[in-house]
Amino acid sequence: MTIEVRGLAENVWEIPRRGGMRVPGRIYATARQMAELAADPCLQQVVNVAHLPGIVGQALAMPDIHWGYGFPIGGVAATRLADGVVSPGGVGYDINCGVRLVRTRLVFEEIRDRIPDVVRGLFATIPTGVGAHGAIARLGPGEVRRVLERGARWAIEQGYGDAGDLDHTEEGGRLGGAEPSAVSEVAVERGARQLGTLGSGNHFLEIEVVDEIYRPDVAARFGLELGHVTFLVHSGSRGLGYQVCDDSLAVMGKSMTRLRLQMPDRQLACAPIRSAEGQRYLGAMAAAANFAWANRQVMMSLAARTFERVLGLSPREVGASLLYDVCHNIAKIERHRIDGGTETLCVHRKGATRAFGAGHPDVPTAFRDVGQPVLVPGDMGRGSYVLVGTERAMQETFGSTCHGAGRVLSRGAARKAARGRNLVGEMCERGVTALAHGRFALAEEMPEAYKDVSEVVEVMDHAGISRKVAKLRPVGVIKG
Amino acid sequence: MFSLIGRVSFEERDLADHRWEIAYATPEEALQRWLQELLLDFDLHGFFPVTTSVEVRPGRIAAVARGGTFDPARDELRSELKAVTQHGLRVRRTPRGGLEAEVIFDV
Repeated sequence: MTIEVRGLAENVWEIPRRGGMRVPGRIYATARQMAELAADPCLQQVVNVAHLPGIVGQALAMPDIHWGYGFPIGGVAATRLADGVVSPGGVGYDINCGVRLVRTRLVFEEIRDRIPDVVRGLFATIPTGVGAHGAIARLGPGEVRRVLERGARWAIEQGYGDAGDLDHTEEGGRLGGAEPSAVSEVAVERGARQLGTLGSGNHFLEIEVVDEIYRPDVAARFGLELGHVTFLVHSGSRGLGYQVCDDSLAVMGKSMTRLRLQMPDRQLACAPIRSAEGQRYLGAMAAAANFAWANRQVMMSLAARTFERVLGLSPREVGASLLYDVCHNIAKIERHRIDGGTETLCVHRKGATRAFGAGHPDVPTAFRDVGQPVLVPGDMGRGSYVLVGTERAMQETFGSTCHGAGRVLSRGAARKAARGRNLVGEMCERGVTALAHGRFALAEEMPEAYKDVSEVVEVMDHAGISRKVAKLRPVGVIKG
Repeated sequence: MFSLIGRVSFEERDLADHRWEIAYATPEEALQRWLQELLLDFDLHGFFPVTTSVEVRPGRIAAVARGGTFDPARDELRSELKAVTQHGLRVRRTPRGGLEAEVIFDV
């Protein structure tokens, strides 16, 4: 079925409201990207999301949009707390999949020759890949539930990082309303061995160099200096989060009939936010989000220690300090301006990053006068971006922007395209030391499997939603 | 499904049977729940099935999987499957009386 799309402004497109859509759809993309999306089922997913009860504004899609479970990845939808729904498909299986960027005092040119050693050290220290476990001792069920309650603070209490890191983590590394009792025993068991593990798929730990700076004043506030080494951790809530999503979809799939909720796609299983099912999901989701923050906190600390050990430097000399940690798969209760008033909404961000502007009370004090740092990882060959949130984002996108490059090749197509090639060698020629466990991990994640992240962030910069601050160039990566 | 996850080389003495009894309302639910159980068994215990059989009864299936424990040092890992989704999930009878299914995994 052809979906009508009309241009609203340069790089901004609308799917007009029709049929059961409660709001229009809005897509941020270049004309070239829109032409590529014309036959893509993710546009139908934008239409489907616009059917959600209580949705306000528009069903939004960022330029990294691609097909996802129920919601498109790169999608944002805000529903009214009073009469709206929450949908696990609007968060995704990997609850609080997110990114944290750590700055160091290290100058790339001074340690350039040691990067392969550091990559090997990271690969030996941080478990990666399918079923990875063992970074820290297996936790008992009671301890896992404390992680679910306390989030990143739990990791700091165990000696992974310091309390200052919490000020540089979205929600302070602990989402309120977590209900560990709403997380099934099976989910807890899946999480017991996986804290401090990267996982597989598109998760990675990457060493990057600050390569370009676009806004020197903001970059200075973010502590980013040209030529300095940083590292980026991309991971989520692992099997615990997947199980929370599975458990919730099963419950909501059944309750939709009872609650007389009808959606155009059964993957959009949902429940009223105020219903028992909705509250239970939000409580379990917050608990899984806290597990993810603890996970990234542990890995950041393990990585910092690895730099110190391999380079023979003190913690002060390495100077690892967290710039920021953002989640990009989450549903959060936030206050936003809508239709001339202010309302409490449940903002689903699935493959979308919070991008609050200057002055917002949820932006850490250290950055409040410039705006929230936004981290957008690209592929392992072309690098990543640091952006800053804007007031325009608060007005147009419920304070949200893109989250990454977005795939252009399926995993199968990428494996086929990589057949017979020496990807480790190719990455080495690009100046990137890459190590991965899975036989297909590098093939599935090779640069040409992704859109050019520069084009994605440019769209949002041009629209004034998030502004470019710095570009990071990869020099080392470990993958699952 | 397990050809996506990895490749194993078990000896006969490594193999054991794992069994499930699963209640269902629709054939699709039966398939999804059983595959979810297999994925969970791999995730929690490393159980990697090499052969499976299912007996379909009204409202319930009895499934058996024969396999061994995945050994990362010996066996080959390929992809992590996050979930067995409902997207496009279909089970249908073939003209020859068999069952044919289509399922999409979240990876």
